[in-house]
Amino acid sequence: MEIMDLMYLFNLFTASKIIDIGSFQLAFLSLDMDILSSYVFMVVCAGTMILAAAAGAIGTISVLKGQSLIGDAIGHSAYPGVVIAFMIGMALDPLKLFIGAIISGAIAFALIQLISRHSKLNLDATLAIILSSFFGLGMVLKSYIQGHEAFAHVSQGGLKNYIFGQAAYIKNADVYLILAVAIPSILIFIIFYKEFKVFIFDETYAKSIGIKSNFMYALMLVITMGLIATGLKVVGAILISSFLIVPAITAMQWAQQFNRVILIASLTGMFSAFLGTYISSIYPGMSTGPSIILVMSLIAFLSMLIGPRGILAKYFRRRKFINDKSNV
Amino acid sequence: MSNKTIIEVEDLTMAYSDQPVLWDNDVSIVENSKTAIIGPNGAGKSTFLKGILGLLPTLSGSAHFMGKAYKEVQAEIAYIPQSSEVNWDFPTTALDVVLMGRYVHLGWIKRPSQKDKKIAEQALAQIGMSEFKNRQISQLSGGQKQRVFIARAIAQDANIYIMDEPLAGVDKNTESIIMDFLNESQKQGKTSVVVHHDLNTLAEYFDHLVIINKRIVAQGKMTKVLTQENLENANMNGDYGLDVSV
Amino acid sequence: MINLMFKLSNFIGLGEQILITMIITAIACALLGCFLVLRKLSMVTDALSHSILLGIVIAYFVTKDLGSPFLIIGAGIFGVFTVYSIELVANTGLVKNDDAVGIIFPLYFSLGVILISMFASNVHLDTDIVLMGQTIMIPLYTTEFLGIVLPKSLLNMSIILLINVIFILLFYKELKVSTFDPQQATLSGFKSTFLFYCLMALSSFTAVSAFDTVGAILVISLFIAPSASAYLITKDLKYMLIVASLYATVNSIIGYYVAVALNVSISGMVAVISGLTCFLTVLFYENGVVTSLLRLRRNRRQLKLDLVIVHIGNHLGQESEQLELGFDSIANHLSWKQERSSKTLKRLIKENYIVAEQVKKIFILTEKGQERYDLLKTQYGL
Repeated sequence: MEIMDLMYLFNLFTASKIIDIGSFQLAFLSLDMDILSSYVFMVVCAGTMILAAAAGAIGTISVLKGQSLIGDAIGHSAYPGVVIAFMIGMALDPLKLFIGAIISGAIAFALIQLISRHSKLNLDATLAIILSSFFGLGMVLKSYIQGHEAFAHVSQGGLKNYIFGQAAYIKNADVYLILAVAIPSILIFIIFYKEFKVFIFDETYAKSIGIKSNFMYALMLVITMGLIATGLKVVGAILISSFLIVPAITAMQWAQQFNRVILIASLTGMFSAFLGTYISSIYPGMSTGPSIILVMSLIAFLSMLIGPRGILAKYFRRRKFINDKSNV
Repeated sequence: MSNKTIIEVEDLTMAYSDQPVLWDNDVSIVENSKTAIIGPNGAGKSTFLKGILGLLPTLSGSAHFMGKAYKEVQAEIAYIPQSSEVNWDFPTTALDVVLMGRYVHLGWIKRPSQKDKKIAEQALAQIGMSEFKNRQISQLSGGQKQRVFIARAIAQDANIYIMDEPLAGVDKNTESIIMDFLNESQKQGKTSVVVHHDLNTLAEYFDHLVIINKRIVAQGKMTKVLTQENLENANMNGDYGLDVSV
Repeated sequence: MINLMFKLSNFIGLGEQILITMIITAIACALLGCFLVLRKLSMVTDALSHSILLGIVIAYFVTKDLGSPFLIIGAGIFGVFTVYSIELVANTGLVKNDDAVGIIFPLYFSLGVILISMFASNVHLDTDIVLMGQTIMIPLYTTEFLGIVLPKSLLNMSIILLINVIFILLFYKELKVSTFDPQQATLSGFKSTFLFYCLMALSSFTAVSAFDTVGAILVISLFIAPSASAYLITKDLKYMLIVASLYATVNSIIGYYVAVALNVSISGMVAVISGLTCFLTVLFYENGVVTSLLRLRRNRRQLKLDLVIVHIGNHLGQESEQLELGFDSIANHLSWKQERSSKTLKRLIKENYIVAEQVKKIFILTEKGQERYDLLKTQYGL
């Protein structure tokens, strides 16, 4: 058993060999129709795919604006809001917890802006402080619930899902919530597409033609925050930021125009969600969120390697350059 | 050239938090002029432009364009910020950037039409950048980038051009293309206000001058204002080390 | 034989053992944190603390023993590897540094979570412990050192603290130069890359050792919050290190007692308190948000007075003075609301800077006002 583990690990890390493992090979070559057509799988898959598609598209804004790690900090900071909402409502109602997450994330965002704008602490340090103290608060509240008799009769096992995510437990209601957030977010993005474009590219010019920075930042926060809060249950507070960041990074390796970057980010997000969910339903030990992120990251690294401006392209260009030179 | 004032700045005072940067400035820009703004480093040239365009808060004073507040006529004023303020990693092509010049005419939600696209392509052609229209903006040279921004201003079809150091760090070719454009615009009756840094070309390129050093040191016709005394008053001799003999 | 041994628990209560371990851990982290904050590497601790999980899991697969010291070494090395991967990805020029952090740590953390749930679910590596550590269990795992029986974490962290202090003392000069001016450091012969990785290796080992007792999230807080607070209120690296240690100690003490009183997670509470003390510092230190806001308001009021004085001084005696300085028109010219200008003008009259000249119906400067005007002109080089 131990040796098997080690071999497995070794294989997993030399990613190129992943397909050598028989079962994985099967998984990639022939999708298991029984799983694909099962209702539970379809619900989970719908949830993760819609979420990942929307997050992929909207994540491009914060990544291009150079604020990718803010998503990470807000994701962590949304957690105490979830616990407080639970404490008030004494139940795991997704909508209430969603509102709690939004409020707490928004407070964190406001504090981040306050500290990084008005003190000499840089954004990095501010994010680290807010992230750790908010998440610490979440853990304090959670331990309070666990030790408090008033909550003894309420089931709180689900609270942990908001840290690591538990996509396998996505229900119809969750899919509706995801839809209810994803559709307006995407709509806002489409409506203000032109404004977002100038705002990200040339904020000063944008201001000069009457596009208010504060308004754009607020829009950006609203749509990002909504997706983070809905994503908590699916991928958890710790990993939700990668749904925003990683597809955008992949897309930027391939496309040179904003609309294509958005499209590719959205599609890779969706594809990763599908494959990740599928893998996790074949291998019971593999949790859905982390599996999706695994797929996403592998695609991103692959893109950095073989993309048109990627490492290989650069290498061959250099070799060609040297060859040409030596021929002359 | 008439002597009518097109931009009237009155008693403009600006501050960064509690440090005043500009004190009680009155400036009149003459219609159809090519006005240069000069001043030593930290004199508040960029701040002045941003103040009159409402991009930074002012402590007192006002700016009027053609007798109106900036908000009412912003479509007619094309502003080119310093290139350091632009996010060069943004995935976009030269043509796309020029097309942004049309946004101010479109309003919310509406997308650029074929006609807008045509205007943008003509603007690129005018500054000799047609062949680069599908090139990604980050792959252009410094001068080419600057020309794209000029094209964006052209596409905006403005009446007044306000430019923050458009000639800083560009090649000779770009410099003459930009100046040709400004001269051409003047013939069409347009006005340009340009922050400039090169005293050698100042008198050749522009006809009006504003010298700023936290306050207005002097302003008016180039021939009258560009004097050794005024430059000394603005602490500008040491900065440039140039012999100005006008 | 056992009776002859010196047991720490005979002299200090279990709770105090936890507290002491906490303080030593906090100081060990804060000292290194100072350099991370100054080098703008704060979020690297986020990446470190999350990816260490994978390091621990891998090291566990090799050692098969959660108590083995090789676990710490293995995971520590993996932490350095994490930093190296981030640098590697960032150096391709294909992504920004922040994005590199944002792509590496979720990947490693995901792998860690997957490996645990697939192969190590029978091991006592609960997710709660991963995040919050097992602070409360500190006194239960004891070890013997030089004839003294003491908590294992206390011993580990004391050794780590000692190593960190020695490192900083030995390389203080080099660290200082390479932190403030990496290029200068390379030019003057220090290998700043070498120092960078030394710093990262120590951070990684410190984080791994602390991970066990305080968990992944508090580690970030321990590294960054005290050092950031100290960064705000000190001007010298030496004092910054000392003040950061003080913050670390105070945060631990307050956090510990509050947590015990409320019967909640100790490490979580220390993180909350660390965030709070840092936030209070941000608000109230010399250039803090609140303090500078108050100063700003005071100065702004003065600035407004000065502004009017300069305006009057500039236009007095000009043709336009009637228009610029007239009783009714002055507010218009400053683009101020009537109310605001009359308030400022009243103040100026009260403080005897200006008077209302009734013949021309304009405001003029008094002698005191003229003096202030001349002073302002020289002060601001007008």
